[in-house]
Formats: sequence, C-alpha cells, structure tokens
Amino acid sequence: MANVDTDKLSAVEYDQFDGVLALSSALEAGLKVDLYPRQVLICANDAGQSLSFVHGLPATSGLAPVTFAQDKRMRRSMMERLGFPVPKGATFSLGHGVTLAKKFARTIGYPVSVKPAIGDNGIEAFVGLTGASGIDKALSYLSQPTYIRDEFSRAAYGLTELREPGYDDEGNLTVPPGYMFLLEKHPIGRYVRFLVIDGKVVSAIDCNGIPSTGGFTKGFRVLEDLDPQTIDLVSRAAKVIPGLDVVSMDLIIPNLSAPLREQEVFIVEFSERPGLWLQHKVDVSLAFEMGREILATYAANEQVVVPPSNETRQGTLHIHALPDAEGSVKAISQSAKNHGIEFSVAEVDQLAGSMEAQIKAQAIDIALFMNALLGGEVDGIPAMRSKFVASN
Amino acid sequence: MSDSVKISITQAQTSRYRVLGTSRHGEEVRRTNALIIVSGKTADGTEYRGFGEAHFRSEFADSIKPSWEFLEYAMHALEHREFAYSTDDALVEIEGFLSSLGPEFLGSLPEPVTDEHGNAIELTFRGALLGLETALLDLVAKASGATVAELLGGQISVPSEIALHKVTQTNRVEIIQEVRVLLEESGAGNSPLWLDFGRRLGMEIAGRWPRRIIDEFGDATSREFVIYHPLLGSLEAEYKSLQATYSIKGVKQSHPQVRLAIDSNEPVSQAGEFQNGILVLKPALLGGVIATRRLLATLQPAEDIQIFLADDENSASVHHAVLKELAASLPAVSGVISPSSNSRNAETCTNGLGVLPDFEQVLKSEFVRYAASGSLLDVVGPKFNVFSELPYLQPLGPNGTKGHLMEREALALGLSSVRYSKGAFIASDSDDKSLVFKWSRSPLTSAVALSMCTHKEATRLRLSEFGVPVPQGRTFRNGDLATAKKYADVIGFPVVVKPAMGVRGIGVVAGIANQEELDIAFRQLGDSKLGRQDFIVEKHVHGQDYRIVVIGDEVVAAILRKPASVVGDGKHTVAELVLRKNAQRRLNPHLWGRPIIFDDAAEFQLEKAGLTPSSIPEIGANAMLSNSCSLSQGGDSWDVLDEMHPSIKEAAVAAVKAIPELAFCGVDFLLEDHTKPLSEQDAGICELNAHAAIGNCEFPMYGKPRAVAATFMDLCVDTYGMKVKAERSPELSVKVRVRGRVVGVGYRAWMHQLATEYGVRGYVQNTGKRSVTAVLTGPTDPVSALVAAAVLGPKDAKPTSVTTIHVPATTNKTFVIRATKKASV
Repeated sequence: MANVDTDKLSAVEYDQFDGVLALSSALEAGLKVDLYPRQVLICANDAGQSLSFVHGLPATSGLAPVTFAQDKRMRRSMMERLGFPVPKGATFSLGHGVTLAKKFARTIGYPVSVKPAIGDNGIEAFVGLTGASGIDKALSYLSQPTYIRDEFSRAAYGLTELREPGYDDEGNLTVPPGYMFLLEKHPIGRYVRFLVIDGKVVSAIDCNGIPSTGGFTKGFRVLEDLDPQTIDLVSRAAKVIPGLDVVSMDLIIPNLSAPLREQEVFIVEFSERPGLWLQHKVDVSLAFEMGREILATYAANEQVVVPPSNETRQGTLHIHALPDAEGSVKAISQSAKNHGIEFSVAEVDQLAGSMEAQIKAQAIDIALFMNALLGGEVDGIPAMRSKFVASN
Repeated sequence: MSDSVKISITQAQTSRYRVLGTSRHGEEVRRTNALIIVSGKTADGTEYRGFGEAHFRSEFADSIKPSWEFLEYAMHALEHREFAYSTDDALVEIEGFLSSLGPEFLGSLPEPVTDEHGNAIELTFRGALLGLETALLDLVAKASGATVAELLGGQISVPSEIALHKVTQTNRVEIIQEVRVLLEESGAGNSPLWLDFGRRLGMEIAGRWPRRIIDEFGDATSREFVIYHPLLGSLEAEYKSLQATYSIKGVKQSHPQVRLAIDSNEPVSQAGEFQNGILVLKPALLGGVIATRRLLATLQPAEDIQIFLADDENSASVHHAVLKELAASLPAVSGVISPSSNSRNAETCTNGLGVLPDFEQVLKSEFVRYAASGSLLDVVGPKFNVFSELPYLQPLGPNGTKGHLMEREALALGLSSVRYSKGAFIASDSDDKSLVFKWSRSPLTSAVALSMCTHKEATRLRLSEFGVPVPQGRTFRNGDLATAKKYADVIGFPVVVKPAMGVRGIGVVAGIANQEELDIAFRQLGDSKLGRQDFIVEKHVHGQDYRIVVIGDEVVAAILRKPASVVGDGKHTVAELVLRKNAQRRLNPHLWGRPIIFDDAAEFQLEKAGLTPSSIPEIGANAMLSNSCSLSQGGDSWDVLDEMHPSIKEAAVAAVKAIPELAFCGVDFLLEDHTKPLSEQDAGICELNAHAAIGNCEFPMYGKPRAVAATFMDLCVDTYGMKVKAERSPELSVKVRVRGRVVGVGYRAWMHQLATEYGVRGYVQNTGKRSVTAVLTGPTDPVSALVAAAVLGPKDAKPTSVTTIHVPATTNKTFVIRATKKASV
C-alpha cells in the first residue's frame, strides 16, 4: 500500500476508522458494496453471497454480545468469575456514588482509573489518578451530557440514553443522576493492545502512551516476543463474552519479556471494535492487513467466495436519497475529485433523488469518499445510500 | 324511616394520586390525595354522585399504605349501603357508618399494622375519613336537593375566603420588600393580609414582627396583617405566650393591626384565654365535618377572637368546597384560609358541594392508583385478558417482562443462567456452551441489523430495494426545515414527521395536513427527547398500526395497536373510565407500567369530540385520547395473527430477510385491513425493530396470547445446538446464589415473603459475607420470576450477580429461612 496517502487516513476519526478499512477491504476484494448511514456495509459477490459490517464489525458479532461488551461492570464480573485478571474496581452512580467512590479509591489505593461504565470502549478514560482531585476532574468531564463531550462517541448499536439530563447545584447541565462510572485500580506496567479475530491473536502492540486516554503516540509490534501463555490468556479472554468475532483488548504487563507466571498482568480494556486506528499509527500497512484479515476470516467462516484482490477499482457509483439531486452534482463531483477519484456523472434523477457516476480510483479513496458522503461531510448533503459495482 | 328517603350506594370509587407540594424548608415534596366518588340511586331511580377528597398527611399520623388499604376496604363496605337523605337522619347515619368503619377494617386484618421496626401503629384514618364523609355528605345533600351547608344545618353566612401568602425570604429587609410587593399586588382592598412565616422564627424575633410591620407600613396602609406559623416547630407550646406579646405591643388607632393566627386542635370552648387573636381549625383533626359542626354550632367567641378553617396546602376543589360549606353553616366561623399557591380548576354544579372534582389534576398526576367496589372485569365491549403470572412479575417493575421472559424459557428448557442485571443474563448448557441476552437483544441478531433498523431511512431504502412496500419519504439534517418543507410539497400531504433514529414513538407526528401543521410538528419534534437528531418527512399511509413479530422465517405473532381510548358505559365520566382502564391495564404484565397518558394531546382529542373529563359518554361510544398507537402512550393491543392475510405475513418475512442477520424482529406495518391481500390496500412498513419488546404479543390486552419468548428461545438453542430438555418443564427446582450487598439488608426476609406469597417451596440462607443461597421449588412461572427478582432484592440490597443451576426438588413443604451457614474449618 505504498501509494496510500497516509495523511488522508489520519484525518479519519477513530470511531470511523474500522468502518473505512472494512469498506476499503471489500472494494479491494471486488465485492459489490452497499453503504448506508452509520457505516452499515453490505457487500456481496457475483453469486449473491453477502457479508455485512457495522463500524467494521462483522455481522457474526451478535447484538447481545456487543451490548455485553459495552457494559464494563458485566464484562469485569464475567471475567472475574472465570478467573481472568482484572484490576479491583466497582461502579458508582454520578448522582449518589461519588463519595463512596472516593472512599473505595482510598481502600484499594491510588493510582486509579475512572471511565464511563456503559458505552463505547476505549474512550473517555482517566487513567493513573493519584488523588481525589483527579477523580473530581474526571467526574467533572463525565458529568457533562454526552452530546457536549468532546471525546464521546456512540456506536450505531449502542444503547440510547433516554433519561433526561439534570442540573447540578450551580445550574450546570449534567448527565442523569443514574449515570454510572467505573473506578478501578490502575496497575503499573506497559500497555499492550491485542487484536483477536475469531479466537486468534493476530496483533500485539506495545504502546507508548495510553490508547484509551488519547495519549497513545506510537507503538511496536510485539506479538512474536510475548510469552505464549500471555497470548493464550488473551485468546481465552476474548471468548468470555460468547458471540464476538473480533475483540481488541488492552493488557497492562509489567515486563514484556517475562513469562506470564512470573508476573501479574491485568486486562484493563476490552472492546468489540477492532480499533485499527492504533495499528495505523504503528504501521499503515498493518492496519490494512488487519482489515483484510477480518474480511477474509469472516468470508471463510461464512463460506463466501471472495474474488481476487485489486487495489484500484473502476465501476459505477450510485448515490441515493438526495433531496436535491441536480443541485448536488457540483459539490459531489468536486468532493470526489478532491478524494483523488476520476468521477464522471452518468445520470441524475431529480424525482427519485438519485445520481449515478462512473468512477475510477484506489479502493481506499473510494472508501473514504463514500464514507464522507454518507456521513454528511460533502457539503452537508444527506445521502443515505451509496452503492458501488466494480467493472474490473 | 321509609325507603323513599333512602339512597342506595351503587358504586364507590377512589383514586389515590400524588401532588407536588413544598416542605417547611422550601423543598419540593410529594403528597398523596385520594379522590372519592360515591354513586347512589334513590327509590325513584334517580342517580346521584358525591365527591370527597382524602389527604394522607403525617399530621394526621396516617401513613399512605394503610390509609389506602383502608379506603379500598371502605369502597367495598359502601356498596349497597343505604343512607337516609333527610336532614335529621342523614348526619347521624353517616357519622355512625364512619365511626364503625375504622375498627371494622382493623378487625379484618390478619395482624396489627406495624412500622418498619415491628412496633404496632395506632391508625386514625383522619384524612381518609374526612374524604369519605365529604363524599357521603355531597351525595345525600344532592339527593335531598340541598347544599351541604343546608344539610349541616342551614346556610347562615357567606364565609370569607382568605389567601394565605407564604413568606419565602429569610432576612428582615428582604421579607419587608416581599410584603411590600404583596401589598402592591393585592391592590387597594382592605381584607387582611395573611403571612405564613413557615415555622422558622424564635420567640424573640417573632415578637418583633408586629412592630416592624407597623414601622414599615403604618403610614402606607390601614390593612390588617395576620401572622401565621411564625414559631419554630419545636416552640409550638409557646404560642400562647407569643399571643400575649402581640397583645401587649399596643398599636395606635391609626396604625394597621397585626394579629397572630394560631392553629388549634382543641375544642374551641377551651380556647377562651386568647385575646385579639385568630384560631385556625382543621376539621379532620376535630373528628370530621359533622363533629366540627357540632363543636362550633353553639359557640359564641369573644368579639376579639376570630375562627377560620384551614384548607390544606395541596387540596383540590372538593376539599375547599366542603370547608366553605361547613363555614357557611357556622356563625362562629369567619371564613376559610387557603394557601395562595392553590390553584383550582373546578366545574360547578347545583346542590351538594356545588363543585365537580378537578379530574385533570388526578389524571395528570405522575402516580395514580384506583380502587372501586364491584369488579374491574365488568366492562362494556370486549373482555380484556387477565394473566395469572402478573403477581410474580410485579416486583420486576414496569419493564420487568423484557428481561425475564427469555430467562424463564431458558430455565424451563433445563439451561442454567447467570444474571447480571434486570435485563442481562447468560444461559448455559451442561457442555458450558453459552448464549448471552440483554432485553430482547440476542446472539442471533447481528449488531449490523440493529444499526440498520434503528435508522429509518436506511431501512426504507433497503426494503424498497427488496420490493417491500414502504412509505415514500426522505431524511433531512437536523435544522434543515426549509428543504423538508419543500419536499413535503413534492410528495404531497398528509405527511408524517419523525426522528431518524427513533424509539417508542417519541417525537413522531402523523397525519400532518398542511404546511402550518408541519411547522407545529417540527416544533413538537424539536422539543422531544430525540429533537437533536436528523429527521424524516414521509408520506402518511392511511391505515391502522400493526406489530408483526417475525422469528426466523415465520410470523409468530401479530397485534393491532389502537390509540388510547375508553368505551362509554353510560355511567362513568371520561376521567373515571380512564382511571378504570388504567387499573385494568395494571392487570396486564406488559401494560401495567404503560397507562393511558392524559396530556395536552388527550385533551385535544376530547375537545375535538366535544367531551371533557367530566363528560359521561353513552354506552358503547368510543372516546379517543390519543392519535398515537404506541402502547407506551396508552394504546391497546389486539391479537390478529389468525386472521392476518398470508400476503401480509409474506411481506413481513421478506422485510426481515432484507436485513442481514436479523433473527427476531417486530415489523411495524401500516395496513387498511389485515384480513385483505396486500395488493388490495394502501400499506407500508414504517419500521423494523431489531430489539422489539417480547411482552406486547405475549400479553395482548385483547385476543389470544402468543408464546413469543418460547419460540425465540427454541430458535436460539436450535441454532447453536444447545443441549436442552425435549420439552419445556412446567415445574422448576433451582439453586440460586446471589452475590453482592445481600447480607444485613433484609434479603432473606424479602425472599421469604415473596416465595411464600408465590407458593414456592425451599429455603434461603446466608452463605458468606456477600452471598446468599436459596433453593426454589415450584411451578416455572413463579420460580423463574423469583430468580429474575433476585438481582433486584430489597431496597437496601445491591446484588451484582445471580447464578442459577438446576437441583433436585426440595422436600420442604414451605419456604424457610435457614440459619447462616458457618464457614467450614
């Protein structure tokens, strides 16, 4: 992937990253792709066999399993029951549990971490807090309603918060009083990010900086260097919630070169999302490789035949649900060109709100363009479906 | 007394409801009132209705639960009872009936009522009795063609109605400013200005206020000031001394007079030592309306003493009316004082109390319960379903069935479970193969499917691609109203507006006929919980709202959802019909937490039909209360599976097949007629629900219940090859281990009570500092419900997980609490 413009990929938000790579992988594989809002991707081969993804998660990751994965209390409890190492921790409500949480922190000892108890994993974490003031700072951020928090994201399959926000004593808008947060002991050691696909550990990155705080700066591949027992632990831990085909997991390991039996490691993050933004920061080709691996494994398990790969694709792009199709031509054409796509409008149907174009570009550029289009990033045009059928 | 002057009670109804009040310290508090309606018929067949208002207040030492149970008892005790309605006998009979009611009720209880520490509580039921007395007085007064005042002895005077102003400020300067504003706002009248200080001053400060008022306002007004409740609650006994202070202060003739008003719970004849003061009486504390009348009828207070009756801070129209009628019959009583914050919206009527209850206040209360003589099952029109498992499900709360039904089926098939919350559990077989569930989210449905189904536009485009009928429409960015309005013109009215990723009908406005209504709809959507989302404008499909449940490749249930409505019986008002319907819905495990919501939309619907909450619809007449079919908004569910045309079922299955890995789905189909072929009607699928409720078809209000959970669990275990029993077991015997904060919080007593009520055998015991273990044996419904409730526990418990495995049936004949298991050495 030497020709990939890495700057362009770097501009992709972390919560969009996996979806873009899944789309790019499907385009490379010559599948017909049908993209809907919120990164719902349905792709099919010529025989009509289909695969589907949301945010880069294959459809083989079930709804209840991903819901379980987004509940840190349950996930921790399941791991504890089965003997997997998680730091001491407990969940508290923002409305009534702050004093208890601080007392708990004194009991387990600082440093501690504070995270939202439910929702997208690997974000909004406050790690290594050394006193009550650190907890206050974390809760000050988390007490804001989610829609005004900078780092917040919610997966398309996440639970919708229907409780009303409230107001604190000073009249500031807050999350509902029942909003829960997790406080857990923060162990000392190196953060290692693992990626597990269908039970197989395919990537391990030794992290400089903490991924879940946004502090990750760079990392190093260490899969081959780790104790096999550690790899086995990660592989088994990924199955704690049955029904997840892809899992990313952060472990804190005091000594990467030491055997598992000689040290205490802890599982501190567990996500149903691949989180390939991190691999991308280590090595662009690694992120693409993992994206292709997810598609290939999923296709193999579903016995879907995937055509030969090709990084450059040409074919027909259909765009649907345009409120003003004719008025959108200029902006869409310009955006396509900005994405490095040869773009020629073939047909516009104002009544149907659709547009058809012949295009040619690298798979990743087509993926980025389609993702931007469905995300409303092209002049605010609310396209709701985009379909690409390759001719090569 | 001949029968010709008797009125026979035909029905007694009561609705307990919550009102918001303010505590002495200015904090918002919830108080409970109960509206009482007593219907009766005279010998000539004329029907009358009497209204009363009960207050459950701590000052009456009446806690809510026993007071409500007493009222429920009273409703049945009143049925078929006869009362004279001549003046002479009516009061005697009413007083006689009420005086025996309390002891009869207490005598009917299996054991004395106790507080949380097990101490017996002395119950007076003063607040409840006053409400019953008011209703009976209203009823017999109407039957005799008189006002309540006339029934009590004669309309002697027109009592004053005094507004009591609550002083909200705390320091002297601010209080004076507040009083100045009150004086200005109350205009040039010369009626006394009553100031309620809210019981917060000491003796010395309280004693200074007459002088302060005179100094500040002496030159500005000659109005009299009355100071009420100045002293701290702990200084109640000092009022007589304070009264002396007020008298001694001496006031110049030209200055306004400042007087002290004092609550009195004693017979007034003993209060003669007051000078230049005001006594404030509460009839409930004096034994009721008739008793107060008797006490005061012959009283001749000193010239410088005035007597007022005190209204309750959170009373409604009926209570206020009975105080006025009582005051009107008593020459010694100057008037009735009411907090100025009391707002009343009462319709008037002739005779009796002269007012109708404020039904809207009851209907709009956040918490309402209903009880009546006779059976709730007596309805005009189709009979609603009653489900035997309801008592077992109530501890799970309003949405309890969602998280329970699938676990019930898993346990019935022999799977074990671990539950982590009300909604989430894992089911495992003997090979440790596991499936996870949360609400109706299963491992069978993909995250992709939910993501697509919760985006209505994506769903529409996808279904359209597969040739499934969908309404024409488009999604617009939040705020892009101009484009949306143009689009509505293109597709033509009527249209529907809804949030792009909606749930439970929130923000949905249907049947929008023109651009003006579209503007209103945009505002309603913007004000809703989902108002920050993108939104959809789509063509309105003319049809009724159906929920069709597809599991795998099969339609397993279908209900017609009708907007909230009540059917007239020619006897009850719309308000009473709504209260009765909501009480009937409380007999349905899925609907019991989903009452008809009486809001502005309901009032609008009634107004369109020329009705008010006080209207009595004719027998069989349907009064609509909503245009939303959502069951959460009070809609009704009617099973229609067997009548549904196969072409509709095929379309529903096709829609589900269009979505990747969607195993369980609630298809929302708009249809003109579910018995006709799809090709012969206007129809469209407006939504697919990938995590639809299970209980709505399992527990329809009308028609045949469908075993949705069992079918869904069967598909799950088949798909994953789980090792299960060949048939669902009607009996269970399980061992349950509950972890978390469950010791020292009354957990065992709580489980013992529920198990005993449910007829479940076994035992419970503490098995660690943070664990309790129980063995439960009995029918599947109660045992599985108890397993689900175990993750909630009593009020102070905080369970974190409940592990359930199958064990041989216990030999225990009952359910017992075992002693704490000692740790093995």
